[in-house]
Amino acid sequence: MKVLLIEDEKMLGDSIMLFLKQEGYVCEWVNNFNAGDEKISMYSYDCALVDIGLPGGSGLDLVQSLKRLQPKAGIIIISAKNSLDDKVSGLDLGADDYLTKPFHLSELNSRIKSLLRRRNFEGSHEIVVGDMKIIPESFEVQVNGRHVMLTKKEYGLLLYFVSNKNRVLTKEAIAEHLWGDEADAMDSFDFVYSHIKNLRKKIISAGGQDFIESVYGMGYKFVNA
Amino acid sequence: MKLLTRTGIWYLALSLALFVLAGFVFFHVVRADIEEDFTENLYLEKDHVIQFAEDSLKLPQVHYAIGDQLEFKHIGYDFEEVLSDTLLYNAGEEENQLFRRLTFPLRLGNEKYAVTILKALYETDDLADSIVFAFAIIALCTLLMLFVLNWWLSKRLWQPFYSTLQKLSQFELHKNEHHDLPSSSIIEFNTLNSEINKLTEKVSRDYRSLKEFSENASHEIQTPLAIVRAKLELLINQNNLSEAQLKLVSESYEAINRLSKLNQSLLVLSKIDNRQFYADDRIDFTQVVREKLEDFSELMQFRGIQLKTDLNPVQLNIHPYMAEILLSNLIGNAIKHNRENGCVSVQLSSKELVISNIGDPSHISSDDMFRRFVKSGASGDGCGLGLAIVKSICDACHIEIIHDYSDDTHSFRLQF
Repeated sequence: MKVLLIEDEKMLGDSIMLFLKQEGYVCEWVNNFNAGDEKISMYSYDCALVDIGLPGGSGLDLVQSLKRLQPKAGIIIISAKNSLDDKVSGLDLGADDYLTKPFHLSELNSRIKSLLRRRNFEGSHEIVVGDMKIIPESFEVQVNGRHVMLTKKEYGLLLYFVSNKNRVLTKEAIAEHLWGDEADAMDSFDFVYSHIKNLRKKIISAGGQDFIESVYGMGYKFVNA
Repeated sequence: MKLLTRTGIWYLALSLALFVLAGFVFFHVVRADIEEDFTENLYLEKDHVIQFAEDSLKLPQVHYAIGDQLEFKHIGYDFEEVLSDTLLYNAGEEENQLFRRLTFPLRLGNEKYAVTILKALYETDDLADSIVFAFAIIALCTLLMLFVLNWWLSKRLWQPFYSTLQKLSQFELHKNEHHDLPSSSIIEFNTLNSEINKLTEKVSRDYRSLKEFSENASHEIQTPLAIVRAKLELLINQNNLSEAQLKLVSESYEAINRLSKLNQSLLVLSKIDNRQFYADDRIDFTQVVREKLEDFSELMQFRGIQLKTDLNPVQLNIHPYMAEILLSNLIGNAIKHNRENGCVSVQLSSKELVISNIGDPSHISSDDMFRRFVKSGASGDGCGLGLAIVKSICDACHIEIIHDYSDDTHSFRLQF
């Protein structure tokens, strides 16, 4: 999987690069508009992460060229501008997703994975983790061939965990993933806890393995045994 | 009181006083003139009487004209002539009348007479009446003119002033529009307008730069925050951290998250204050309320909170994003400050939206509740901006918001 990161902030770019490499992606990183434009016209990528405010031009123009030159590449806009206009015009231009800084790296990871799943396998891909099988197309989860009934939130939670295997997911990241901006309006951590408890219970009672570990004070981790 | 009314009253009072004074002086001058005339006539008559007596050696015939009398009295002594005023009863007019009387000695041969000529001064009464009447008419005309003049002045001369006033009252700082006041042919108004122009321009500029500053500051803070958060996330995932180290990282991470939320709230606030969410359409507000309640329904079930709704169809002129923030904050609040197995009620009508919840009394007064950084203390993770944002949105959309607490129930009433 080849990912192109177009981000002008050095330290943030460093972190994203490190993270993506840990996840096993092949990454390239450019920090300005012209270099980005060059990369797009010369190489092909599975996914591009594009910042909007770039030295030398607007990331929105890069989204346009990407769409033209590499229609198969998934595009995620990462922008500090929490602006609806940017979001709307970015998605209109053909970006697949929009992430506002500051974001959780695990959230970025989950978005990239879901995007790649949708792009490469037209959604018909099954995710198998140990004795558990997730079928994203039909939002179905099976443990040892047995169907597990999950709520929409529990399913989202499970997919988020599976996308970020062996990573600590903080309570904040989980809350934001499940409820977006709404997470701020509610005291959501005990709510997160209750969702995770229910999810574990359902998987265990279906005969599955308990994948989810709690990490002291921080959050939870999906451990792939 | 209008300036012109005030000056009009002063003009009126002054001119009335002036009229009274002028009338008084006029009356006295004219009367003095007339009385002098009377006196002259008396002396003239005296000369006539003396002339007649000397020529004919007999007393003239006593005649009574209206108001005039001539009397002769035979006396045996000399005296100086006397001019005096006296009141005499006038049977004809059945009242006492003022007469001017000249009494002088007349010698006819060896006989001495005292001759008294009386002339009624009653005409002066009429004179006063006429003067008062004439002056009253003049005063009335003046009053009328003053009224017309005021009306005309306010309509024509003061027109630029009133239009300036009107423009000033319509001036809103956060609306980034700037209308120059027109120049006027009157120096004072011209100066006023140009000074106001300068002032509003400066105020607008300062306001804009301040707003831009806070928005830019929030933006600039976001990037380092994103960096710190990303680095901490990477650090958390280092497998060799001890529990003590993890605790330190975890606490830093929490603090960064709080800062990040605070910053985002500030950014939203400054955007609302900068009127970046301008509503150009009416939206189906009821639908938004329904969706938001749906978003929160899970949380309410989780907390065992009962929801009561009474939603009527309402269209509202509000930006969809602002409507979402508004409702999220209010409903989130109603859940946060609720009791175990409590209750939230949402009532929406064309006039108002009332969101109320069972809860303990707050130590913050209803007025302070909407101020920035005021926290209830009980739930420590909030940054105290939620209701400030709500208030800002309401102000931007011309919605009145009132909080009150009674019967263990907090209510936020939004009047459209």
